[in-house]
Amino acid sequence: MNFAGVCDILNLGIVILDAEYRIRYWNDWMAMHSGIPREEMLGRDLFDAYPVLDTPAIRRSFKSVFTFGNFGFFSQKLHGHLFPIRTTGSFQGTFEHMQQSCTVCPLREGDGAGVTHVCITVQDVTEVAAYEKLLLEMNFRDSLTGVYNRRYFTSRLKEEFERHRRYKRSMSMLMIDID
Amino acid sequence: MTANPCAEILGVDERDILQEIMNIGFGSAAADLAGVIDLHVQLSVPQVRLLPASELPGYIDREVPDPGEITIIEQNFWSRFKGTALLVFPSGAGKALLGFLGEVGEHAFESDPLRILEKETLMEVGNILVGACVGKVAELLGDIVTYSPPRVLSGSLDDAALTRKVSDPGNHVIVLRTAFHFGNRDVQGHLFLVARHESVTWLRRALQGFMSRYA
Repeated sequence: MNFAGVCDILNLGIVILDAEYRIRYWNDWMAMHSGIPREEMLGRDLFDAYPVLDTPAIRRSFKSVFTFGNFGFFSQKLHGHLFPIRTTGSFQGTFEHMQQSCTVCPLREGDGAGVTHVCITVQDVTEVAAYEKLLLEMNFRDSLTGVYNRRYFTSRLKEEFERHRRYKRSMSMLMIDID
Repeated sequence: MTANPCAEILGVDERDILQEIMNIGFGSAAADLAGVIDLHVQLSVPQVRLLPASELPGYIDREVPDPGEITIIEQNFWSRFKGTALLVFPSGAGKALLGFLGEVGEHAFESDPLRILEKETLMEVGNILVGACVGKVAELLGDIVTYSPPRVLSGSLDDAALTRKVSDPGNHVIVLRTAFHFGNRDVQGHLFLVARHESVTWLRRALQGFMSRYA
């Protein structure tokens, strides 16, 4: 039995790149969510297909995986997403793009050989990110008026005070009675 | 208990070879980090210690100048060479490194506290640093390593959990320590590689294999 088909039934995006960043594999999940079929993607330059990915940080991560054979991690918190895929359904209002947690893994031809390809896995974490965003909102806003609450004031004050200390610039606070 | 239980794990010669391998490995890691990804990091001459697992948290506490406010990034690696990498950053390191990753903040929630971004930055930088250092040492010993995603340990070392993780409390662990310094960012910290007790047998054989190439 050929187990290669497993990559197409996983609830996970899988993209494999060669050392020239050409796409060598694009699984069904990627085809389904991006709307671009595999045949169109195979052999294409990743940065040509997705110019938004052509950033120093992303190139650095790929280079690091090719050179050191380590794993690259693109967290949703720091990056939001790698592949810009529009959200559908109930999260459309919360996020424009599907929130992703991505990993870049090294692939070798044989034991002891150098890294020849990298595999990118894409996990959809939109639902968790949306709940987290909602919780943060609930934590910082008054539910009746939608105005920021005291907790938000305290945390922002702390941040601003740290900024003031770091850059040694003056800081002022206005207190306005608006009712 | 014998008079010197450490000697049972690794002899003096083997310890010297390991130190030399780390020296070569870290040197080449630093050169590659600067050349490939423009991350300029200086790594001090590494030290090798053999410790009872129960003394590990105390040792790390003593080696870090100001253990008060620190961030610890933990990443496990496994293959024949198994263990845990701990990166200890002083407070404020995350802020100093924020810009390094580029477009930080663009996609982040407006209300995300800055410290979440700092943590994530430290995890990414730590991941690269650990990957380079562990990868080079493993490569010299003829091994290929897999890594878990990095995670942030809350503020301080949980003594019991750390000891349990790396070894049975009765066993010994091999600790490889180096201080690092990001030249262009004025950030420094410490890297500890704790080899699990199970990898000792493999490690001894690999060290002897490394030496036999030069014998």
